[in-house]
Amino acid sequence: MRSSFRPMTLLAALLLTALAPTYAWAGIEPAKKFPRNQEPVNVTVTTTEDAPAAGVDLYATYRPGSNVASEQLVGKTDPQGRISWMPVEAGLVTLRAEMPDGSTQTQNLSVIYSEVPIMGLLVMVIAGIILYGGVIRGFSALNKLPADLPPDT
Amino acid sequence: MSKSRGQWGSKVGFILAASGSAIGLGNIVFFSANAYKFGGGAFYLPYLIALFVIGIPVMILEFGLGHQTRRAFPESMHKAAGKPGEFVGWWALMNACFIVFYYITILGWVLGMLIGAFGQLWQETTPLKGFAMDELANPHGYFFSMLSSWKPMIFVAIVWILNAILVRRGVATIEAAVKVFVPLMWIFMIVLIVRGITLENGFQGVWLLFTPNFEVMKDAAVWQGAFSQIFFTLSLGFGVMTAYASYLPKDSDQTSNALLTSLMNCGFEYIAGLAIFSILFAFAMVPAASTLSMMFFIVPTGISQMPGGDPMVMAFGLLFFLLLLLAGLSSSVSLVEGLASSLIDKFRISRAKAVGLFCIFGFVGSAMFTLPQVVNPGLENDGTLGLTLLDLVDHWAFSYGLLIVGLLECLLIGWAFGAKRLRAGVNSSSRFNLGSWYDWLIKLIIPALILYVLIVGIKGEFAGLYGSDYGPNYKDGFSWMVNSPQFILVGWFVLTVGASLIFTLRGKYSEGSQ
Repeated sequence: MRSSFRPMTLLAALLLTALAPTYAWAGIEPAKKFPRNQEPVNVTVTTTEDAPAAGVDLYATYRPGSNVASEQLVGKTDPQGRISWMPVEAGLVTLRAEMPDGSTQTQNLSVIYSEVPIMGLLVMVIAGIILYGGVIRGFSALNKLPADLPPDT
Repeated sequence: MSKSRGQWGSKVGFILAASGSAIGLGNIVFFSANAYKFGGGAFYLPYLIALFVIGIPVMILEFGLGHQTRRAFPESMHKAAGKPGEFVGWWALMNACFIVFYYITILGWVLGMLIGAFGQLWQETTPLKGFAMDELANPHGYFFSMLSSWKPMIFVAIVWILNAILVRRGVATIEAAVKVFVPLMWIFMIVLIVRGITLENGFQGVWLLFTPNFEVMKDAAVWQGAFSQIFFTLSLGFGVMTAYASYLPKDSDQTSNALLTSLMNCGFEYIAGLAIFSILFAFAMVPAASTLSMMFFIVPTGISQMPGGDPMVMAFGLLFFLLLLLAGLSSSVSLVEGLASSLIDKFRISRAKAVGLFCIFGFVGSAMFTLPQVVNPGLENDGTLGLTLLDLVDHWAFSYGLLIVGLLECLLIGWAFGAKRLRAGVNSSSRFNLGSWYDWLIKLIIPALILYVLIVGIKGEFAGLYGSDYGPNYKDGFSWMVNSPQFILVGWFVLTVGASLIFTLRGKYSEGSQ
């Protein structure tokens, strides 16, 4: 008996619902929502009363929460609570400010790559070719054999 | 009189079932959590290398064993290496037993989140009872409110009933289910990728996953993580692949089957990584490097911020949890089948009885991990007793049990049964012949790699036994349990080894059973 399940029809219908743009955010505020790697960006640190947090140490943690996280001391904020930060690595970053009252403020952000990373592109393409090339080749080899299995005797 | 074993209806059915078994919750969330934990791109290259050095060769071993002996894992191991082999076979299944108990608990929670995705999950907060706070922002609030109620017990019962239905007629019902589940999983994941990479700067997440960082790759922990991930993601050391391959006809090509199943599994992880990393990057979300956190908090938080309003959030939330449920079911049925077929083989009981008994026993096991008592009101750690138990048992059964089984099966097959003999059997029906290098891979290289991963892990336990830092945050009533991770370690070890010994020593396999 043939199944009436049509995977490709369902895929097409679901893909039609999968397109549209994005959102907004809030203590440590970079001038750009997505700073670019190796390009300086101004960061403003404010207190909970929304006043500029002057002389506050700002740290950037690259790959936060991972086993291979690394931290960079960005420096102290100026009287306007501002500091210029140059990201040294693309990816997820947590900015952390040690406030004068002993509290800590954090802000996660994503630093975009300054250009397409050639090695990343290469690994993506090669992995894709190996994995999906192998799957396609494997299935086509299966299809060359009779559809039904021989009896188990 | 010997009853004939079932058989897969088609080769595609077998591949879908084997890949469905391998593709589970781990592929969708654990891979991404692990990849992030070990530096994204720094992880992916070691992971690909591990696939070819350890993953595919052990998959060939497990398929080859099931295919040559045409029995479930313990009996296959018995035929290959006598009583010690059978003991390893049962120990693999006892581990799988623990894993399937809490795996189905997690699936029960997924079902609860799926129901929540119809609306409640996307509200700002959920009131809490028994915790230090009166309410908590969602999805955390919804999740812990659910965990501290008895509702998950009902969800767990439903998931066990679904498993019983899917394995009631063995490979026939499993094959029918995976022919729908597996294509659906791929479709849902493709939709999530399209949504992820079309978010503002979502595609940058792709570079985060694939761009190698050679400085970070010098860290041995990255390689350890990659080799462990490959072992877990391919469902090796569970005995499932051997059980599935035992239902194949004698002329099946095990090298191609292993290659196809492994590549499909890792191909699914490839696209799951694209989807999850694009969401992480677009919403600057930092994963807590844990599967459950990624599954129940990080991705749902990303979905809740998706543009397009409430309908879009609800649609993608439902899609994500339905995907998890399907992937989880296609894996859990394989674990249940692996256990049921072993009981049938050894104790000659009917399939209905084996499945029925195991599902009832399994529900009781899963109920342990569903216990809703709040033991950590401040939520510095796991919150409820069930979740704490799950965390501790998972650490031992999953992180150590599977690897120890993998190590022992390679040594027993390699040295006692003979890697050459296994290879000759595999080559007899394969288009691609394995060379003598395969023997050394099974006999020496893979055991050495697994041993290295185990030693690194055990060394870490001496620095502080897993879970020993939980104590101060927990209520007194259960502190004896959660303050004593040694209790869980000893409990897991005694129960699995004890049950394996009983199953090994009781009853006998009939001679020449086919």
